Amino acid sequence: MKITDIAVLFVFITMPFVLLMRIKADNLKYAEYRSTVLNRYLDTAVEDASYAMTIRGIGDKTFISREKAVEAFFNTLYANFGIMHVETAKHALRAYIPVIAIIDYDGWWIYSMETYTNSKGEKEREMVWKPKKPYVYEKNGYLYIFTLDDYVRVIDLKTKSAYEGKRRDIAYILPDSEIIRDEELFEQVRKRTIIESIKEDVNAEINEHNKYAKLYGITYHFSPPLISDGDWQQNIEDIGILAFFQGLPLGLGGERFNSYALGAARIVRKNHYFIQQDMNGIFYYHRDNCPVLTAKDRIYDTRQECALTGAFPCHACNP
Amino acid sequence: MSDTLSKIVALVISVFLLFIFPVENLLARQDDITRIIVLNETTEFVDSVRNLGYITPLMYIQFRESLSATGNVYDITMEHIHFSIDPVYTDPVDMTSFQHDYKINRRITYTEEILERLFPGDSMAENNNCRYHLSAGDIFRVKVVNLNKTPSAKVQQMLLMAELPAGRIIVSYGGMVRDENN
Repeated sequence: MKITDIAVLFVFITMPFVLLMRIKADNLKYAEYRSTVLNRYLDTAVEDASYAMTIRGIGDKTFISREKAVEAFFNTLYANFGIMHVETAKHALRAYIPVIAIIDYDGWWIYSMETYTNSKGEKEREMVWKPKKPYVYEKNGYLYIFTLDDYVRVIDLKTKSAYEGKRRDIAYILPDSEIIRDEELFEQVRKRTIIESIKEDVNAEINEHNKYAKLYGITYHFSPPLISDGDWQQNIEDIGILAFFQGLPLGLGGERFNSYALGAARIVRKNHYFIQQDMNGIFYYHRDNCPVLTAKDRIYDTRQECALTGAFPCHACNP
Repeated sequence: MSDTLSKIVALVISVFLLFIFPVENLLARQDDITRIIVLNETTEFVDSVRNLGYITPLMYIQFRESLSATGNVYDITMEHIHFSIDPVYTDPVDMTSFQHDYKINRRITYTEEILERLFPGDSMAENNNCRYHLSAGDIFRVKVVNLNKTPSAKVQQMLLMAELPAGRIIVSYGGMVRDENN
């Protein structure tokens, strides 16, 4: 056999593998690109939802509208997928969203699939809002009902009496409760309680969704994504919406999209800026944690307000 | 004579087909995979900065480490566009010349300055508490380019007998900062 024949034979044998590898790599590239794009879609949708869900009422009161949040979320998602007017596609897309959670000031809501019997006695399957659940923790005969800040309700299970107020204010009424007495411990327990209770609920709902996904012909096994502790800590600081998007096929390689997004409405937590005069008599405005800042007596909510008083942004903290 | 010549040609072609082509192909795929990993790591880093509103030394080091796991050396350029809100004075020295108005100016900070802020000291313990803060609404972007020639670039250079540029894995990602934290 001539050497050229061997070479040609070699090409014949290796060519299929080379092609296969190229196709696989292309698929992988496409899937990666798609998942970046989808993440953007999801982020925008959640951002819009958190913006839409806060309603300012009379007397500067704010309300959370769950319906508006979900409506804005899905509308943005539909718009991005280009299926604003395609009912069937909308329906199909919704099946990839196992759960949406709204984290409110004193509890959380879950929006997920549920089977129920309607007034005509027929079974219906639909995404519905589950009742609001509070952030509850029980220890040493006390029941703590936490909120997103240091406002807390404590129920003494023995005497059946309830106390309510900021941690600092009720500390002297409940001297034997370690959680109320110790500020650091209180923060720790509060955060842990909120994170664990939401996590547990969300995970259960995602697992439950597998039952319904099959009916839509989705073969993907829905499982809760890993959300790092840092992310959780970040997310429970304020009222927000948490949405999961899983199982959408990405290209032909068999990869599936699996992600979540959280948008905060930024009501509870506010940034403050402080104005302070420096040694040369010039006014500067600072962030809360600025190393130059010494006196926190002139407080402002926005940077614009600060600038309108004639203060310059500080060079150290760069607000 | 012509027989020898054809033999030499055949040998060259078969060496090319049997050895160089598969190697080149394999290395090119490796570059593809690397590009995907780099894109993945970059989006993760940038997204976490955008969500948190600050950069810590640890975040940056972890990002660097996960990039170098691909076996290449990268140049990471960061860019932070800060929208600073400045009061308007006709004469900045004269306090009475304040116009009761503000202007939004862009201040751009680049890699060097950001890194100086993150790593002011020599030891890691000194740097641990350092943070680079961004404000909500700012723009943060990162560009990653490989500095070394990847193996596939080297093989291609050999084949083409030409000097090829090193930058093959180029990833650029950025966006608006969503939140600020202390």
